Amino acid sequence: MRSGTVRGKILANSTLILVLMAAASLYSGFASLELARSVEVLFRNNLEMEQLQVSLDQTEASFSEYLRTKSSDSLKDFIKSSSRLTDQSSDLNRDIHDDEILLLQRDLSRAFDTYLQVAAGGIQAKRGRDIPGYAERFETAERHASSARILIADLKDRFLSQSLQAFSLYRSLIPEVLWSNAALVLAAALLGFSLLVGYSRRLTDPLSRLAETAQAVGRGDFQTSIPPWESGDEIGTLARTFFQMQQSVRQSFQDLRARAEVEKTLLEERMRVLELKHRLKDAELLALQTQINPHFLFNTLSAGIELAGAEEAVRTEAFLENLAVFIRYALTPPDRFMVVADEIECVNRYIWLLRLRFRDRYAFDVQVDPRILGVEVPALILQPLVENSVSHGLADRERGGKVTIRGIWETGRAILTVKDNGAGMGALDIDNLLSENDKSPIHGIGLRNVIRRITLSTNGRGKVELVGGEGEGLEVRILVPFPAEGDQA
Amino acid sequence: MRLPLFRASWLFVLLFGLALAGATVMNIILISQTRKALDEGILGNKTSGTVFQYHLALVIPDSQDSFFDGLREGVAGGAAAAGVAVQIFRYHANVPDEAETYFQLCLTSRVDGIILYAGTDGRMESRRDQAAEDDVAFIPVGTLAPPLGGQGFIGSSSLLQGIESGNQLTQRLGKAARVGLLLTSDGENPLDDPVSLGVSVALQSFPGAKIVQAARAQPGILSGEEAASALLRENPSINVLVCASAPITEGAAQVVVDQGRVGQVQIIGTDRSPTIDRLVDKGVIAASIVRDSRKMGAEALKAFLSAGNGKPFVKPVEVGFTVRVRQEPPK
Repeated sequence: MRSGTVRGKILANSTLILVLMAAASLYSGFASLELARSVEVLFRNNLEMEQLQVSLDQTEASFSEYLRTKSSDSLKDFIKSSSRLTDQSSDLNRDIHDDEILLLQRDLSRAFDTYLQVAAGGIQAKRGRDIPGYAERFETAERHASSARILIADLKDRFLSQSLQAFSLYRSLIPEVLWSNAALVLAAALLGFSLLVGYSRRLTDPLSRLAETAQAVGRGDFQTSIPPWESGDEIGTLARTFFQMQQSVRQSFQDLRARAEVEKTLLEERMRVLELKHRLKDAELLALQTQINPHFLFNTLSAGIELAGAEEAVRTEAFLENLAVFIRYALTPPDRFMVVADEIECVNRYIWLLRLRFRDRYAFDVQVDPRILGVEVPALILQPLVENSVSHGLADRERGGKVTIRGIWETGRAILTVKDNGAGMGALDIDNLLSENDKSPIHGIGLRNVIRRITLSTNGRGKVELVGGEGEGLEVRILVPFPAEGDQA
Repeated sequence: MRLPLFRASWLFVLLFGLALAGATVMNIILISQTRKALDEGILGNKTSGTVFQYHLALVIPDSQDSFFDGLREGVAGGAAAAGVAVQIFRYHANVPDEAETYFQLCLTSRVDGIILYAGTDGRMESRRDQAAEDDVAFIPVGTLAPPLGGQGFIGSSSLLQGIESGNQLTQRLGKAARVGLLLTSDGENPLDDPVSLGVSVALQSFPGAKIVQAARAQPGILSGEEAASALLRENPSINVLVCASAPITEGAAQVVVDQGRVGQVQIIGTDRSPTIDRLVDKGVIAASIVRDSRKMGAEALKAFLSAGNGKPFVKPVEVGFTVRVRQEPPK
């Protein structure tokens, strides 16, 4: 059993208490035993004197009986009792000491010897039928026995006196011993109880603190820390494990929080994309709103072309043809991609139509690097810009208005620019226009539509730049990256 | 909180251990004291102490008389050095047969020697023979020498004590002496007591001086008072009391003081004691005949050792006496 375990500690504590109680009990028992033994010792000498007295009486009686009856039974009794007397008297002192009691013992032992010697002589005389001999020895033996009795009585008195003197001292100390024993037992009980209470508190305190901490954690308070518990027992293991679990839970919550932040960011991004898509839909809706029964219009224009051809009205026929081609291109779905060559073709037909309308009021210059003619771009991104320049930038100019359209190739991207020398646009307006939240109709929806479509169709890689200022004209630059794989999927 | 409790528990354990140890020590002391008291004569403690060569019994009266204290001290004084253990038997002074009982007991126990103080019981010769038969040295001591020369007797003669007492009182009162004699209880006719005879001898040179009455004081611590009081009451003419022992002297002096007759009644005492010495110095007791009982005891021991060494038995020894009188302050 390891001593570091709770069970081991409980066993050790219980053993300690048991040892304390056992020590007190054993001590009390030992003390009581010694008290009783001492009392026995106190009167042992008197008891021995009494036994000597009895043996002497029996020897004397059997001696008298033998001299009187000469019976073998009395002789056996004499031998038996005299042997016992001899054995018992062997405990008596026989040396010469300067001590009254020891000298009395010596007297007694020698008196027994003398008596037994004379009595044995009496027995022999009786056997030899020497009547005067055994009669004389009987009297002598009686005298010696009388002397022995006097000595026994004297020793008894002295032993009794001595015992009473010792007992007086003994008795005066007995209450102290008894009280000390009782106090010891009481002290042992109190000590055992104190140890029990103290150790119980020691054992249960960490459990209570652990329970309080667990309750706090259960309420969601992960900041409450369990007090340090260095013990190597099960409670210590439990506390450390709980601490580790608390740390793990706390870390998990932090991870979850971080993940929630990321997901929130992703969600916001998603919301932003949805917003963009929503705006795209708005743009599409707007585009549809601008379509006025396009099939009817297109079929009608085709009929006009045939009519103009039949009437040999060449200019009218060309006008209608360009208008029809332009309208057909304008009916292209906004999410559809067209090559730059188609966009330029659309712009050229639009310019032809504008020249027919405005004659020489505006000049148009279109130059495109052939290397970008095959680059795919969202449909109808150039024509709205040209229309924007004419409708807004150059609207107030009666003459000298110019619109320059360029197609430039750069490494990794194509740059399409539409520049006018019109009224231009302030920096604040440019920023508002480029802002995604701008919904002001100042510059019409065409330019904003182009900007959003470019942004959405290129996943943010393409962009539109506005360069210019108040009265300095406006240049719209469309930077179209060469499409990465999967961009149009 | 836990640490102090933990330390306190060990403090409790320590205190408990100390209490247990203290109680154990108390028990050990208690038991050792009782055992020690018993060991002094315990049967199982036979071998402790010095072993002596001779076992000598001293049989004396159980009396308050300082004479016997001196006798005992005289015997015991050189005994230990001579390898003699002295065992004392005290018999009742008014039961003389007890002396014989203890004598017989000593013979039964086959002691090496018996010093016996006996009065006038007339058994001295038979005891000597019986002791010799049992090969036990017998030394009689006393104040009355036995008949037939008192072979081996060691004593202080009561007759000489009486003569000196008479001399002391006649020195003070001359022919005017009216003597009252207070004698010990052993004996019959007081006027036949050796002390009485000795005083009578001393008074013969002073016609007119006489012994008014002689009385025996019975054993007991107040015997002297009783006897002296009765004697003075019955004989107002007595102007001097001769006392034959120390207790009688002390009792008589007390009576004289109580009756306011100091100086009117002279006291010639016997032996010494602190009380007697004080009363002598105060003039209540005119003189005290001090028998040299200590020397008596020493001579008795010497006689026993001589017998034990095979030497012939000693001749009678008279140890004599001295007279204690008031010390006059130097002028």
